[in-house]
This record gives sequence, structure tokens and C-alpha cells, in this order.
Amino acid sequence: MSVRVPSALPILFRAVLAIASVYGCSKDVLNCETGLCPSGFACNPGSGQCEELATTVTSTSGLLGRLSAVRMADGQLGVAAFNSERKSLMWMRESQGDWQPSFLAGPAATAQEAPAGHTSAAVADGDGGVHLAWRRAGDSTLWYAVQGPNGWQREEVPVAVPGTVGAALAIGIWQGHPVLAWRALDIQNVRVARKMSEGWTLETLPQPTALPGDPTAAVDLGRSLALVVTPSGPAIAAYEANRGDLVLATRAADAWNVTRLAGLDPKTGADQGDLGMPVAAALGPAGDLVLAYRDRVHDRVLLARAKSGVFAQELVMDGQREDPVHKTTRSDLLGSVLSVVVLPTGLAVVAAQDASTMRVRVAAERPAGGFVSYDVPGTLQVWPTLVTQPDATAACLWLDLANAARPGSGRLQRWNVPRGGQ
Amino acid sequence: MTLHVRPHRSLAALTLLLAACTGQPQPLEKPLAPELALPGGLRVVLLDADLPAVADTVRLAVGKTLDVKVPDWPLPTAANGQYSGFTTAAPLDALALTWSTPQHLRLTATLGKMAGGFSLVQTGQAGCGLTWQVDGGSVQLEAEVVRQSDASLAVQLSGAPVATWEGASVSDASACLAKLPPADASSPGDAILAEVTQQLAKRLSAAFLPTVSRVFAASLEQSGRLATVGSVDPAVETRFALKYVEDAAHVALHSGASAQASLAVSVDADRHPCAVDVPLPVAVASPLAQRSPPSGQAFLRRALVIDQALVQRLAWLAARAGALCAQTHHNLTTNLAPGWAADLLPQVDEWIEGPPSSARFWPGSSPTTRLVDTPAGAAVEWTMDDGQLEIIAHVADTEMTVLTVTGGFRATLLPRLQGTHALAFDLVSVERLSTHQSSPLLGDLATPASEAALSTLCEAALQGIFANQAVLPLLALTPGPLPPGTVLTGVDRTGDALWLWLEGGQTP
Repeated sequence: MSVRVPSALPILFRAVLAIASVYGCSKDVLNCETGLCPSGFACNPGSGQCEELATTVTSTSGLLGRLSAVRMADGQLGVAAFNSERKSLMWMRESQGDWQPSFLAGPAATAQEAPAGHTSAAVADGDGGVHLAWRRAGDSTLWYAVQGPNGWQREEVPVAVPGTVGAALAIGIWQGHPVLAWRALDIQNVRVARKMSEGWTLETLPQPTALPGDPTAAVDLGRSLALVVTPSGPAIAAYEANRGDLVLATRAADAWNVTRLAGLDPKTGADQGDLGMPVAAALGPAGDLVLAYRDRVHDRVLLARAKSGVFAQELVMDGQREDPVHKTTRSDLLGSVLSVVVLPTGLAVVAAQDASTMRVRVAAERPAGGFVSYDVPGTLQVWPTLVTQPDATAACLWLDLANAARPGSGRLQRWNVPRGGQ
Repeated sequence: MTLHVRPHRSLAALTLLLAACTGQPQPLEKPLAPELALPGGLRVVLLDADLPAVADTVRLAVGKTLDVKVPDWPLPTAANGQYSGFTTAAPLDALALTWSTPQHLRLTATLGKMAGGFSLVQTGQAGCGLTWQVDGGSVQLEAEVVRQSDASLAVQLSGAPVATWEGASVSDASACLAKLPPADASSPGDAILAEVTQQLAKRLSAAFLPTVSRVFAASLEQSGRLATVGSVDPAVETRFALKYVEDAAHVALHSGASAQASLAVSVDADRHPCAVDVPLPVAVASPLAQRSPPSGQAFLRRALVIDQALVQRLAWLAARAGALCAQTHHNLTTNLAPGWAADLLPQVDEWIEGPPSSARFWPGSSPTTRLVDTPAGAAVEWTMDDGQLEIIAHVADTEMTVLTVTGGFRATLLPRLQGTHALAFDLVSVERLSTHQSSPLLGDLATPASEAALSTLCEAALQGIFANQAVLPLLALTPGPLPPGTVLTGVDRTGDALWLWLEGGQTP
């Protein structure tokens, strides 16, 4: 179904048309405009059509916290989430349009086990396996599980000292082996573990390159972090809290190279804002690294992409919002949760939490540059995450609190991001 | 003439602290309009101890009579002739000294009844005697300090003196009129009177010039401090577009008791998109009531006096510039019970972790301010009729706005000496005015679960917001303008004025 709305009509006519379109008329005119599509539709600036919003509500409720979603080898989705009612880590696998839930950790999975899975991370390997890592909050331990032919095999990561595992956690597959990165509370830095056939290895990220003029500055790294594995090795983007900088750690050969990527002038060390809390990462089709991160000072989301070895930064969306009552503009708390994917076309899609309005916003990159932004339909949307679709589009998953059985916990929903950027 | 004088850093800091936040106003693209000026908004008061030379000069001069003898001067329209032998006695009733800039002084002498005699003389003819008298008058002269080629300073007249007489007349001049050539004046008598007036004014000016020089020599440093007390921070000027108007600045002497520099302060700012569009409040500075300094002061005493009207305009300025659209990460745990979330949001407190991480404030109106007395002393009462306070906390490791409080807020800010060189403004109380609460997670909340917890939270949040700029480094940042060793010793209020007392420093 499509509704086409002219874009260059006089304001009065457009207003009339908008009203008409809301009530189901005028569905065959050209070129819609954002905000003028009927309820349940969103304007696709690329096609000029109002496209029906596709949302799917799972039957599982009681979810809370960040989602970890992966596209598995069979093309189906898998999502790890914390079930607040059972206080356990839940794994939901999409199957024939339905979702099959199971519990991996916490009292719902193992009797007498403490609540677990408040924070988790997931990744799919090329062999059809899914790897999960999660934190058990009560004793701050780190756990790992892999889904094989015989189901899930889980273990506590032995090299992660109990009591030191922070809430920031990421997982990837490097040379066929799972690699985990987490914030270590005892050293306020990021530790990296890799499971080899002979057991787990452990590393700590070196300090970032010294600040110009302040070479001994203390570092507080990893309150937010993201991990992807590039063709040359793992790359970890992390937030350095003392200076409000985005730090990038890349591994080449046997050494890590850790640099401050944004938030300061690289030559003078002058502060240039508070960037990187949180940060999300994705890989482009050519293995190029793409980072999406929040600018806390200006309430905006930025994207950095490596071009010829140099990161170029651009604006994805900002939190500015009109207040029609006071005729002012205010700024929303935008980007407290971020997710980014890169489509096979090389175009990025970013999902961001607006934590002032509890709405999810998605921005899709246009081939000609810049982003087109969508307000995902609905209310009380939290913890968005993006996945790529088999048809080379993106889907946004989030928790819907509006239709939750109890306050503060929600149901999983999905929206297929329009091909607006194309 | 309008001169862009850079504002006092402390005053700008006061702007900030009244705003209580960190806005980034942009420079204005056009000059401030004259109607934006608030005459008398800021005054600097020097007590007589600061100006002994000026006070002594005035005290010694007033009541004296000056014997004036004007040198002969030529007839203006006759090739051969002159006015001759003019003498008079000039009783000096009052003497006022006014600085328009530190280097430019205006002296106004008020004279009593005078009479004098003189004659018109033409070459080859007998002189013609005349008398002149006035009931009183004044002579005003302008003098300025100029730097000589040898770098020394000299005092010189900067324009023709202006004399104004009451009841001026000359004796019957008919016998002399025939001796005069035709004149442009409508009346030959008026022409003679004008001549005498002009020459007498010149002579009196010359007589007063040494006095002016002495005053300059003794008080130039002090007067310079008066006018340059606020020449510090160009960045503040460009951000807030706050300026003084030069020709409104003056020093008035009050019988040798004290002197005050009254400055007109103009403020304006381009409206920040987050600020409501409210016009500049109409305000008039109140007359300054004299006030005795606190007892036990040192030799040098002075005060920076801020009128309530200026405080109001500064609050308006800060709000318009967007300074009230603020976020704070500080002080949110002050007096906040660990169970704050359970008290206020019991439905979701299970998922709220720790204390609020930050708070944001969005103004829906422009604040009003007034000076009030509290049991703890003079204070600034700050009222925002319409605003929204957002409380942000971590929910499952994610920053989210968990509570919004919308409505009116009133805060009381208490000036407090911080050491001897800074002034802090403590937020001592917060009152909610018809607020209602909601949560983005839950929708409208009919009534808070705990009024006390809500009040504590709002106070903690606003304390954090006001804490951003709550310190006024009055002297520490101004090493030049005030004498070394000057310290801030007290803050109090008289009527509509906030007095910041300073003392100490070197003697003149």
C-alpha cells in the first residue's frame, strides 16, 4: 500500500492533503513528505511513498535491558535479552515467523542460580554457531556459551576475575575463536579474552597514546565499548571517561594500538567535547570500520568511518525538538543506546534511543550523503538494536513498554527500516 | 557618545551565577540600542577615606572668595581699543567634580553675588567707566589629562568654559556706546555683557585649573579605578553583550563624605532557540540610599552596589542567551535518600540504579528576581513561573529520563563570602510552585508518592544547576583595577541595592 503526497504544494493545500491522507484519501499522489503520512505509515523519501510500517510483537513479555541480536547462518534472527520477571537470560530464536524462547542463565535456567544476563552480547560465526557472553551482576562474573549441535554449552570465563567484570561487554569471532572484551572494574580499563583450543588467553588494553601536554593523565576506559573483527584483527572502540574521549584500539600482529579518536584535538590535546558514551561499531562490506557514538554535550549522534586510514566524522541526527507551546527548541537526551549496521551497499543505518521521549529513532544513510531520519512508530520504546536483513535492508528491534504486562518491562518489537536512503 | 567599555568580570560572573548555568550566547551583530541602557544599574561607592585629596580640596575651597582680575582684552570689532581693568570678587558657594572618564574631569563652580568695574578704552580717547554685577552663577570647565611627549602627564582645558549668570547686568552704558563700533549683537549692552561673561569665564577657568590639577594628581589613580573597575574580560563582553555607557558615568561628591560612580549598564543578547521570547523588562534603578559601612573597616573602604533592576535585567539576559537551559551532573546526591526512586517511582524503582546521574532544566518563561532579606542575610530570590526539570538516572545500565517536574520554581540564593576574594551564591531553598510530575516511562503521575522526597530531589537538582557558576571571584581575577590587598569583607542590602563591601589596600 502506498500513499503519494506532493512535496511542493502550497502549505494550505498540503495541510488539507495531510488531513485527507490521515483519513484514508489521496493515496495515489506523488512524493510524500515526512510527517504527512497516515498513522501506521512512514514516508520513504527515496521512493516518495508512504510505506506501511511492519511491526511484529512477540508473545514474550517481561523483557528489560539491552538486546543482543544476531542474524544466524540460516537467515533467522536470534535475540538475547534479560527477562526481568524470571531474572534470567533469555535466548529467543526466530522460526517461521514465531519466536522460540529458552533460558540460558539465571534461576529460570538453573535452579538456585543468581540472576544473570542483565548485560549480554551475541555474535554468530560462519558455521551456524551462536556465541553469547553475559555478566552475572551479583558476583560480577563473566560467562560464555556457544550453541552447537547439542545445544548450548556454557562456562564461566576463568580469566575474568570475579567481582571485577563491569557492565560493558562485547563479543566477536577472530580467526574462528571467540574473543570477549569487557570493562574491568579493578583497573578501570578493558580486558580482552580469547578462547583458544588450549584454553583462554587474557590481555589488557594498553594506555591510549599520551595526551599532548598531559602525558600522565589517568585513564578510565570502557564504560561503553564495542568490538568488531576487521580483516586485520579485532578493533575495540571504547569511551574514556576522564576526558570524555572516544578511544579506538586495533590489534595488528601481536600488539594493540590504542589512540584517542575523537573528543580532543590530536595535536594540542584541547578538549573538544564528550564523545563516545555510548559507542557502537559495525563493519562495512570491504571490512572498513564504522563507528556510531553519542555527543553528550550537544545531544547528537555522530558517525565515523575510516577512509584511506583516516576517520571522517559526520552528523547522523541530533536531539533538537520544537516546543510549540513555548515556541522554543529543546534538546532531547538522544543516543543513550546506539546501534549501527552497514548494509551490503556500504550504507550505514543507525538506531538511537531518545531517552527523553522514550522513542526510537532510526537514520539511514543516503547514497548521495547525509542521513534520512525516521521516528519509529509507537510509544515507550527502549533499547533499540539493528540487524541486517536477507534482502539487504535493516530491521530495528526494540522493547515496547507501552503494551507491557507490568511497568518497566516490555515486549520485543521489530520494524523494517524503509529503503529510504536509497 | 557611547563607548564600549568592557564589563567587569565579576559582574558578568554575577550574570552567570544568576543564570546559574553555562549558556553560550553569541556576539551581537549590531550595537546596543540606547534604550537598553539602565542608568544607575551599577554604582561604585568610594568613601571619603579613599579620596582625601578631593574631599580636602572641596572643603578648603568652598566658602572662599576668589579675587579675580581679568587681563585687558581688545575690543572685538575695533582695531584700536580694549576692555581694561576688570576686577571682581567671586564667592565660591559650591564645587562639584565629575568624571566622565578617568582622564576627563568636569568642574562646576557655583558662585554667589558678584560685582565688578572696568572701562572701555580706545586709542586716543578717554576711557569710559562701566560696572557689572550678577546675582549669582556658575562656571563649568572641562579638563583632561594628556600625556606629553616626555611621557609625563599634564592637565589642560579640553574646551571653552561655559558660564551661566543669573541677573547679569551692566551699568548704563550710553556714554560709552558712542565709542563702540556697530556690533552684531541685538543690543550693544548685551554685547558688552557677553564679552565680560566670556572673559570672566576664561579667567575663572584659569584660576580653577591648578585646583583641577591637584585633584587629578591626588585622585587620578582612584578615579581611574572607578572607571576601570570593570575592564577585564572581552570574552564575557562578546558573549553577553553587556556594556557600560560612558557618558552616563559620573562621580558625584556628597559634601566630602563619599563619592559614587554611577554607571549605566546596557544588556542584550540574541535569543537562544531554547529561550522564550520575552522583551527586556522595563526597569528603573532606584535612588541609592546612603549607607554606613560595616564597623571595624580598614582605612580604604568602597562598595560595589548592584541595583535590583540590574539584577533583574541580568537574569533576563542570561535566560535569553540560553544560560538557563542547563544540565548538571553534580550535587544530585545531596540530602537524597538511597530509596529516592522507591519514594517517587515505586513502579519502576527496581530497575533504577543508584542516584540520578544528571538533571536538566528547560525554561518556559523568563525568571524574575528580587532582593530579599532572609534570616541568614541578604539574598536573591529567583522565580521561574514555568519550567521543566528532568531527572535522569540509569535504568538497566542506560541513561534515561525517569522523572519530569513541570511548573514553577522559586529558589533563594544567598551571597556568601568565600575566603576574602570571592563571593559564592548558595542555593538555600527551593520551592515548587504548582508543579506536576510525569515520567516518560510511566506517563503522568497524579501525585508524587512522597512530597518530601520530591522536594529534596528538586532542591538537589537545582543546587547542582546553580552550582555551575556559583562563585564570583570578585577580586582574585582583577589584579589590576583594585589596590593590592583589597578584600571582600561583607555583603548586605539597602532597599533595592545589593552592597558588596571591599576594604584594605594601599593608601593613596
